[in-house]
Amino acid sequence: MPTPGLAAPAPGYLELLEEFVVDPRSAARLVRQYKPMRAGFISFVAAALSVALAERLAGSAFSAVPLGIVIALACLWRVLAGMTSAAVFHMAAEFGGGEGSAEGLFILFGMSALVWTMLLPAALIMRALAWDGWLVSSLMITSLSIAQLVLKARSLRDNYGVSTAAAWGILVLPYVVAVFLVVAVVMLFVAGAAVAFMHVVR
Amino acid sequence: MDDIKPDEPQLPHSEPQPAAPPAPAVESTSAASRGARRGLLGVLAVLYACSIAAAMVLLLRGGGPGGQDGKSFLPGARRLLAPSKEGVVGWVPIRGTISGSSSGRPWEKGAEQWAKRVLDLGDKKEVKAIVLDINSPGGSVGAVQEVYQAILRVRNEKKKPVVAVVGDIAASGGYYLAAACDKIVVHPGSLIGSIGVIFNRIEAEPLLKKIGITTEPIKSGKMKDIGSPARPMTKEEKEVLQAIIDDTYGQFLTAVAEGRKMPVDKVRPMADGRIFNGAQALSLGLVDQLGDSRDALLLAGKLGGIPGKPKIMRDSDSFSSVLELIDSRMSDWLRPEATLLRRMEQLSYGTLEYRWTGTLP
Repeated sequence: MPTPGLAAPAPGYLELLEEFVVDPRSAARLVRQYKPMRAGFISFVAAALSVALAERLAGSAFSAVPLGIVIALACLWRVLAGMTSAAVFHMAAEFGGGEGSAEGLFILFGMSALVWTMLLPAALIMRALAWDGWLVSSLMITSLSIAQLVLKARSLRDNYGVSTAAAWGILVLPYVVAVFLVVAVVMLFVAGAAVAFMHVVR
Repeated sequence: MDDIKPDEPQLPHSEPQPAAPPAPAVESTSAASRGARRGLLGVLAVLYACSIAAAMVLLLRGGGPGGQDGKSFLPGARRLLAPSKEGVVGWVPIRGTISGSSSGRPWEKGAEQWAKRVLDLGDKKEVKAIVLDINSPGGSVGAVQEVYQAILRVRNEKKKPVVAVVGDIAASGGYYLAAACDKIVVHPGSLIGSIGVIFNRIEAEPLLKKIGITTEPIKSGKMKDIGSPARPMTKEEKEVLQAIIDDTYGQFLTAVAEGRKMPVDKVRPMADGRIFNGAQALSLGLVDQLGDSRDALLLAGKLGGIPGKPKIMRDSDSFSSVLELIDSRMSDWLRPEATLLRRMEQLSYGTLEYRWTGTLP
């Protein structure tokens, strides 16, 4: 039992990870209380490392670039992408009526990204068994992507106290907006080109 | 009953408290399972770290497969530690007229970029052979020779075989490049040959006269404007250009003779500029076999020591190919006359070409 009057110590990384797996709502509470940003960074870096090394083993297009640079850029990219997505989804969640913190979402998204740490061991096993078909790789990547999406939705639900359906709605909303914007830009471009063409023809 | 003295305080009479019950078994089980879970997570973290280490070993080793010295007693481990399996075949498409790129940007289509791709693929350890996929009527001499030298470098310095496969046509400069390869695979109906040199020149004097334009160049030497479209060529100028063409033609003959391992005198009768189809070229010894891209790939794999059907590595950098796609699309949309203007510009000052002019200019 904790000593009265003294705050409980911040959870360690493994403890937080255990809570994330077993009791996600408890993990969200811990994250909200302690905001262990380091856990988020570590998680994103671990995921990025796994993906970068797996891609390199598979003979990625940038195999001419030194390995250290590839790894550094991959880690940097993933952390920045994590921050950006946390910011975007935080705005979407707040817009949807949820209440939570962007830092907490960043940490929980980082934990969600840990599914990608399974990619590297899987790539090594496939290499050892000489399984180099695209079907196996595609299935693996699709499964991990879906797993990450599910964990992200759960993170949104627990961080903002919304329902599961609302969490999925928040997850999908930015992509819908992005698609809408792309379609709008393309239509504007086509319309402008058509006007220019008609002008030239006349 | 005892008398209660009024001065003595009366203490409440309370039942003795029972002893605190022992901690329930559920809590210890929960703590134990929590400990087990964390232990499991710790083990998974260690395994993940091991996989990172294994991947780094694989990637930093580079070179050939591990255990080639035969000292490994774990065949599975040797296979696991092999950084790349059996090697790949590089694939470089050569399409259209061979000329220098207009700006030299890495993603543009041009002789420098093709030569660089050949050399870059030749530098890669995992590339054991290269296929040159040619569909070209030729191009300017300098551009053709740029790619030619790159092919020879890969063959002679990197000791990697290069196989040419021809699509519709490998004429003139296109055949110049094919002849530099170890083997040439063509379709029976592909067009081959047009061994020769041409200096295309337009004489526009009658047209200029018609529209009332005269030119009066001020020059340092009488031949400074040799090949000018604004006036007919003099006999002397023709001799000078003919000498250049003859020498350049000799370079072409030598390249074909060396590449096809034939004496020059055997090549010369076939080298009057005529073209052949694939079947004819095979009978003349100008190509090695009839077949398609797959045959060329398998041949390249065989020459490179790759068992089975080899994997292909295309450009060394797909980022450049994305930029090339964007650049070519933008050129088509924004400057549709660019190609025509460039060609007209080339014709206006004349160009020495290994090129079959049976195609559109």
